[in-house]
Formats: sequence, structure tokens, C-alpha cells
Amino acid sequence: MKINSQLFEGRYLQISAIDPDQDPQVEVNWTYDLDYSQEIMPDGPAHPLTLFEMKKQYEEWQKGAEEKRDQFNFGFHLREDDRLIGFMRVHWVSWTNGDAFLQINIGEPEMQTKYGAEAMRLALNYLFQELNVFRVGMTVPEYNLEKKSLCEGAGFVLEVNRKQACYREGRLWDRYLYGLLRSEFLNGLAEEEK
Amino acid sequence: MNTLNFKGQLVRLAVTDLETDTRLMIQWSKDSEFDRLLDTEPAYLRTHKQDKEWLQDHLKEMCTFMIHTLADDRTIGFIDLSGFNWAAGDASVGIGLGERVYWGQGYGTDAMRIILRYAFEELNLRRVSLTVFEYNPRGIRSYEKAGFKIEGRARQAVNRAGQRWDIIFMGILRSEWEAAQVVS
Repeated sequence: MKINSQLFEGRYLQISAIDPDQDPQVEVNWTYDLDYSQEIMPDGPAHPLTLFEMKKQYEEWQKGAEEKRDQFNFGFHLREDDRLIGFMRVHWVSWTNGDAFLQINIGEPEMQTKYGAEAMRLALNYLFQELNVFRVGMTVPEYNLEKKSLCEGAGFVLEVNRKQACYREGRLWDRYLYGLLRSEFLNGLAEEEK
Repeated sequence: MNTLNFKGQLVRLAVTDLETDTRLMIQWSKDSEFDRLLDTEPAYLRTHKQDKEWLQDHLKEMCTFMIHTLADDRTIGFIDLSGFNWAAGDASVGIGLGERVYWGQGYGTDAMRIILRYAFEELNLRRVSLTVFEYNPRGIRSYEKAGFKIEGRARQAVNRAGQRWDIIFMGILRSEWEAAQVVS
């Protein structure tokens, strides 16, 4: 990557700052899709969020970004019409260990299919080439095949299988932890350039 | 009815005393090896106020016990359950023995057995999770003795003392725990 390459601009997507007045309302509507709300709250039961809860969550992320500087919350917008389609969230960066925990949350399934890979690529570029982390981790529930292939397509390695750690639609599912190391990310880039 | 009395073979679990136990925790955290076994945060010397506030803030969301020896009622460490996912029936356990002379003698394993019984028979959990650093083989052995199995490892996720280390993820399902109770 060149020093003048744009970090926030992809072919179809633009990474933008959060609009605290509008974005929470858009996202609240997405949380009726429990696959989505489970994604944004991986450690708890999936449930739709009120606007009040969502705004509070945004404020916490903002606080993490401003005070502790270990959280990042950006929006993915379509370049053609500036429509918000999802978020890139770094829930924490452990600066001493160079370890980050990432989520790519895309609101509508068809948008995820179309633009998930580009969203992932932009997020990883930012993490490895600007935040300079050594490792990125992501969790994926067993039933979310699309997310699973998104991770694997980006070069993530399945590291942990937490058995029966997730409950959805009347049954227990495993929860996977994926990891991508800096060296693996850079090798992947080199392969593409060949 | 009262099979769980928070007593094992070597230790009992007691609720925390904010004042005296905070003092102990601060004493223990001067031991940087203890700190480095606990979590990924940089070892840090906290004030009494910071530690007490932390405990107060977390009492609600966590279930924290101090570990006392049965022989002479000495407080030697802590054990807690946190990160409850009530839909999946999952929680994480954390344990630390601050008094080093008790390391490697079964005190931690005993405390773990008590809290697992509490987790499965009273809290109705379906699994209990933990993470441990690869530079803590004594911990891993203890958790295996208590019935935990390795579920994988976050590769090179920790950078300490000039080296990268894995974080090992372990878990125990209630079915596995129950099977082990029948055998013993």
C-alpha cells in the first residue's frame, strides 16, 4: 500500500464518521433481525434495541474513542448515493499487545453479500496499515455461514471452537473465534499483486 | 437440600469484604507475575480507591468470591463468574491465587470445583468458559483437573517480555461435568 492510498475509500464503499442523530435510528430498525442484533451483542441474548439503548451505546463508543482511544465506530456508506449500509467496529485495541477485536455489521443481508468483502478489506487495511496491529480477532456463530465465509475469504484462520456457546432458534450452536495475523494479511496482499 | 455449602476439601468460598479484601488484592498485585497471569492489561499498581471502586462497580454484574483455606481461614485468592449469557447458559470464570505458597497444591482446583457445582446446579449454566495464557502451564493443568477441555488458541495474541504468546480458550459443558460427577 502506498502512503497516498485512500484508507476510507473503496470501489463502492466509503467509510464515514458516525452521524449520532441519524445512524442510531437506522440501526435500531436493523436489530429486529436477530442475526444482526446477535452480531452486535455477541455475548448476550439477541434482542431488538430501543433508540435510547442504541444512543447510549453510541455514546459509550464515542467515549472509548475520545478518552481511551481504544475503540472505533465508523459507518459504511455506498459511494453512489451515500446510503448507510453498515458499520465497522473495533470494540477494543490492546495497544500493548497489538491485538484488536473487529466487527463488520452490515444491516441488510443482500448488502452483506454484495459489499461484505469490500467492507472487510477496508477495515483490515485500516487496522493493519494505520493502527498497526499485529492480530485481528472476530467471532462468528456457527449458523452464520455468510460471515464465516467472509472471514475465511479474507484469510482468517479458525482458532477456537467454543462449543454450544450460543442459543438461537431453539437450539445451541458453537461460536467460532477467527484470527488474522499481520504476516498473513500482508502475504495475502502480496499474493493478489502477483 | 444443602449440598452446596461453598466448602471443598481444602478451601471454602466466602463473599468479598470490600475493605479488607481490597487491601489484599492491592498487596497481591505488587507481584507482577501474579498480574501477568491474570489478564492482558499491562501490570499496574492501583490505589486502594481505584480497586475498591472497581470491585463496587463489578459486584452487580459479577459473582465474586474470596478463597479461604479450611485449615486456618487464610484468604489466599479470589474466584469469580462474569459475562453471563443467560440465553446460552454461558459464563466465564476467573481465578487468581495471590498467596504464592499455595500455588501448585490443589487449592485453585478445589475452588474451581466448588464454583462449577454452583454454576451448574444453582445458576443453571450449560457451560463455563475461561482463557489462560500459554505461559501458565500450572493453570492449564489445574483447569484440566477440574474438567475443562482446550477449545482452541488465539495465536500470538499477547506480547510480553519480548515474546508473543497464545491465549488458550477452555470450556466445560454441563454434560461433561455431570458425567465426571458420576464417575467420582
